[in-house]
Amino acid sequence: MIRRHKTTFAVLILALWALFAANGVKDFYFEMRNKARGELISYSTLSEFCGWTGDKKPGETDWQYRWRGARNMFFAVMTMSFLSVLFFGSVLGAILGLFWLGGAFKEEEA
Amino acid sequence: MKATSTGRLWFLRTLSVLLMLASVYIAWYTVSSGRPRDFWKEKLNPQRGEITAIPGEFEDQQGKQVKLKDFQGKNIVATFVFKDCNISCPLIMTDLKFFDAENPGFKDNGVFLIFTFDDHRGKAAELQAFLNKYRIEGAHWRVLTADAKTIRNLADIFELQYKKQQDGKYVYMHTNFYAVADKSGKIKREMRGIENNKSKFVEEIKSAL
Repeated sequence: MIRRHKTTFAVLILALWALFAANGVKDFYFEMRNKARGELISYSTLSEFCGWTGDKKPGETDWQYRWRGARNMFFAVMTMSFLSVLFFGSVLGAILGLFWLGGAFKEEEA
Repeated sequence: MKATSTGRLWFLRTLSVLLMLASVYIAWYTVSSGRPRDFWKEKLNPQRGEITAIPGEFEDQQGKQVKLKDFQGKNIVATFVFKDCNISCPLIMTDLKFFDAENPGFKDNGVFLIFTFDDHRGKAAELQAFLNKYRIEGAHWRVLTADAKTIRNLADIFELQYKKQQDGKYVYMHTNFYAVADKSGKIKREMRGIENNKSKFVEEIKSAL
């Protein structure tokens, strides 16, 4: 079934990937927005940012701290990889689109 | 048999589309309010969005017991300090004083809530001395303290870091944080870090209320 319906399963995997990535989009959006405005991000004042977990909270056990760190890193990796694929795919799509418009994929007439 | 297979295929396709739509909604939610919002944390912990819904007993600089829901009906500008911190806390207090001076009408329908990271219960005079140090007067300034567990819960809700180290003398480290809530108690704006542009700081609070 998977072999016959590759597109459906590829889209399903992409959708799951997007679901894990969606919550981390804010980190990239606000960093890019601040940079575009010439503002500085004070990383030291952010408690958790794009996989960075910051210091251990008062009363937090080692296990809780490690779990929080692992969770942050997982979601940061999901977001970074998904956005990379999205941007790369867009650029590739645009280039191939131009080729397609130029007729590069048409069968040459005999 | 073929009908079952087609049914499954359509289920998977529909699921994919729904997941994609959910992802777009989550991404939009996290960036849509002018501040980074964590979708899962806010949905699983709605208190993050409503300061007056946060539980706990607090004590102010007059020794009065208060709850945060007592401040419903007032605009709230909240922050966190270490009472004896001489690094960023004086800057935080100066910023709030500046906002107060620039907005004389705020005292009529608003309140500054200054939470202490340390437990100073039973030491109302010390909290009053803290305000006196900054030459602050007025009933719209409330320094609130509580037991360590309540403060920890509050700091966790806003994801704040704080630590006091004794290295010859006390060293205070904490997130510099402001929360602005409207009269219904809903958080309209969160700010982290010290804003060097003071007029921008004032405008951001004003525009949030």
